[in-house]
Amino acid sequence: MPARRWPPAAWFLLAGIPLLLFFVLYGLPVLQLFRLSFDRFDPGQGIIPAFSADFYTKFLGDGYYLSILWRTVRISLGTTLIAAVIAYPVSFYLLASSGWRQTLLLIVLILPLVTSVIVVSYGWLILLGQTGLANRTLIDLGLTTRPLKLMYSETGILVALVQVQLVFMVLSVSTSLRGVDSNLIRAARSLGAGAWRAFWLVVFPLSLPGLRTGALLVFSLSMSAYGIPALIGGPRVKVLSYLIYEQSISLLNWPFAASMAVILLASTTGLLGLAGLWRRLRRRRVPPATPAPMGAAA
Amino acid sequence: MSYLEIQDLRVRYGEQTVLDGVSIAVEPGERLCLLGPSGCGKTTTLQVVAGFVVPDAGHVRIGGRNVLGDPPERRNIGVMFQSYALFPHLSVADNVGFGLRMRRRPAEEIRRRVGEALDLVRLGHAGAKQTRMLSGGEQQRVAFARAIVIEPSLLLLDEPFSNLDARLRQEMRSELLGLLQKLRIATIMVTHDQEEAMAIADRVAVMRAGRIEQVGSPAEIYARPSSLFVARFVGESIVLAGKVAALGGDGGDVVDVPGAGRLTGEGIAPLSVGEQVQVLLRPQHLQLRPVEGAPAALPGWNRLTAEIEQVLFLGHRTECYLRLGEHRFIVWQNTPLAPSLQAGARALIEWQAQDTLLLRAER
Repeated sequence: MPARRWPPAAWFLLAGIPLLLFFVLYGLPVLQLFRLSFDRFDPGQGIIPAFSADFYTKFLGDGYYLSILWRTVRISLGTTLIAAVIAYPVSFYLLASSGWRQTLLLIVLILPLVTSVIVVSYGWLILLGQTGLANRTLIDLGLTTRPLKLMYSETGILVALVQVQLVFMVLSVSTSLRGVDSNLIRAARSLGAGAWRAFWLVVFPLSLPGLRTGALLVFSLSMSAYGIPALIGGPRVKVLSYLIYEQSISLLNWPFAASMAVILLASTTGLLGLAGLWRRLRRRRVPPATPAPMGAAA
Repeated sequence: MSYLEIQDLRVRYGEQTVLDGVSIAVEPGERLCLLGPSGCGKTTTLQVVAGFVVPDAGHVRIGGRNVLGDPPERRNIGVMFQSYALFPHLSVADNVGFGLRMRRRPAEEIRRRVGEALDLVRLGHAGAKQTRMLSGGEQQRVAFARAIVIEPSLLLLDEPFSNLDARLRQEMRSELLGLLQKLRIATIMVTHDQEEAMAIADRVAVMRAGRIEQVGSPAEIYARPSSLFVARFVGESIVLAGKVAALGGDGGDVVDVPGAGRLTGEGIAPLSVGEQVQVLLRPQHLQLRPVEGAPAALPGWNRLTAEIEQVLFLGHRTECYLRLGEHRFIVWQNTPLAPSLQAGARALIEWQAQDTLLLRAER
């Protein structure tokens, strides 16, 4: 029986429907947001249609706003890094285990993601508060005398973001690790690499595609996270998404909120683009033929 | 004392006994082959020696020193994996140089020794290539170069030819043998293919169910297998069940085979009268002759009359399938067959008593 082939028109239609939906539901609002970000705003009159970059210059010229942008980037980078470091041992355990252990671990990882951020944040409030479990344990162990400020702090945001987004990193990294033939590790060991060097020189480089995917997901989700930073950081530790919420919902200054949203989008995609560019340049610079001193690099 | 001594290795995975007391020795520069069906423990033995599997009991000594306490990276053993296990993110030269970098050799020395190793396997031009761009045979040669460039005290080869197609396999077999003869590194090779084992090895150890069944030179193993298992594993064989009728007669022991008569042969181990034995014949030792006009049987020869069922002309030899009652025979004849010997005809099968091996029947 000959295989039934779809005419090109059907393919076009098949790809066209989601493209159209994407354009209508996502593309148009973003374009509108972009247009809105150039409008003016007066507390008495509301939005005044215009074409000015006032809010951009206001944001980029003000140390206060820039410090919040930097904090947002800092928290996102930190979340990505911590998630990556935790993801490797967790992935190894995930791949080594089977049956109910594996299922249980996956449930534990996914649970914070499917739980309401309010519940997650409230849970961390109990743990991280002045008299919470974390501080009591630290004091009982004699590691600190005064309770640490964990709630309403960057540390608190970081911890909660890692908890919620770890699953993305673990799933990407473990998928990559699954493809690494265990004989490669054995080969490295037999050639004189200890377990640690075998990891750094063989397993880690081969897991980079997964790490990259995981980092992309965790970084962009952390940059735009609102619920957890708002509830755990509160107004004292603001991130960019909090500022956007404040301007749009509380102060109704939609043009300023829109310009900050554009800045958030630009800095997220810009940083990811820079990371990709750096990787490409570095790859071109290293000639594949020379036996590079890899031992030293590790 | 031998160079490599493996003593009474025992490995269990849960309820399953994988190695059940494996002992074997390898002399300096010797090539030993572990031969056996899958699941016999040959690969596990290799992994214990390499340090990837910790045995429940036993010793592994190299040059008199017990290495079981050492992790794999401190054993200085070259391993060539069945899948070659080349590092896909490194070039050919970086793969080969990996072991030398781990030993922190100067860059100049690494470059020189990698070049020499690649020249040895005729891949001197391919150092800059990515490993995935190489053919199967080339990948195997890179894996070999990577294993020997560290000047290992022992070389382990796990099913080195199983990933190659039939034609390349034969080519690489003689190439690998040449390299091993040139390098004179003590080598253990694992294979399930008796031809590979016999071609490469100085000595062959046939393994069965976690034990070593027989150790000997390829010729010994083939000519005087200690059990039916070994005999069947190392070549095509014809087996007849019988009972010892007399011992030490003219040219050997006499056996009664029901349905085939009296045969004379040589016992591998001392036999006693009345004992059940298995008579082992090799197809190339048998000769066919037309029944009509045959001279009387010579002393020291066995003779049977059987019916030809099938004749296959293969060019380099003719394979004949014969039947005598419930017994079946295969005859490989290199000389032209008499024209009267066709399917359906009766023929005399003749062979020398010295080519008739008598094995104690296995219970």
